[in-house]
Amino acid sequence: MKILCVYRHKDSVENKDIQKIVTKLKEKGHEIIEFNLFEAKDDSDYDKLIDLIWEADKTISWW
Amino acid sequence: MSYKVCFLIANRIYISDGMRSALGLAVENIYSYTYIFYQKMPAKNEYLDENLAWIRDMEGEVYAVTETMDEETKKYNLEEWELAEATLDDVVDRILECDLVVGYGLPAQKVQAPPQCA
Amino acid sequence: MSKDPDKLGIFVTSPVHIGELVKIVEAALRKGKKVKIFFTYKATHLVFHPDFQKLRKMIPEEDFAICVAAFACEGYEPEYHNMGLTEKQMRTQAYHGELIEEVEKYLVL
Repeated sequence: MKILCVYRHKDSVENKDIQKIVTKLKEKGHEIIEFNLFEAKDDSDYDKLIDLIWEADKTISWW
Repeated sequence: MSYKVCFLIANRIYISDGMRSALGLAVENIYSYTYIFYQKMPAKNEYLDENLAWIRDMEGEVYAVTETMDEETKKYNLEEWELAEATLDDVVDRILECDLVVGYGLPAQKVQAPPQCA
Repeated sequence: MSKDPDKLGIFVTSPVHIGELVKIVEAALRKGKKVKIFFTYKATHLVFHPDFQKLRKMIPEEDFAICVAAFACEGYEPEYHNMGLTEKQMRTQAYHGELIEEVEKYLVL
């Protein structure tokens, strides 16, 4: 499964428990795509996000 | 088809409303599971107690992710609220099982809630 | 309601991501997608943000709503503080259920 992880806050990227969950998802053979929403600025960043949402089987938007 | 949704909640202020939202989906025949990270449940109250019972009636559940909690928080959530216990591995399995994952609200606060919040 | 393959559902729980929300909606529309948005709990305070009106005007009435119970719990009077939202846009959590069944893709803010 292709899973998109969107991080709304910088804290979420640094959150050890989120990291553990994401690592476990990878270990189970799932493809993880990560998107730092807190760093998105230009229209092109947001266009990319829409593409990623449509490409992914599942999107998890972390706090 | 019946959807399955899991709510992940990390900020204390969002617990009650996250559970209300999870119940809102359960009554629409969507399986809903809520995972509380880090936080102590609010003080016991009838409204939230009823919501929890109703979520369970609808075959949902509210879990305490205990490995993210200190001993006092864990004890309170499991003994006072009788939440089900979950590990991060359980959360991973549920994320994979569910159609949708709801990261509800804001991250956990780094600051201790001041007494004025009471 | 059948699924719309071009529709993105956005469940807004965060009161601090209105800027990102506007950008996401604009990007979705640029790509020929539609959006359906539901604001709940603390995010209902966004009704008073200037960008909220921008969004309200960009999105069809039936695809844009707030949780009226949350709005009232936050101390607002739906009749006076609705900022142009219609009765159809003051909804219960059941709207979230409708949104889930209707959209192809789903994002939480």
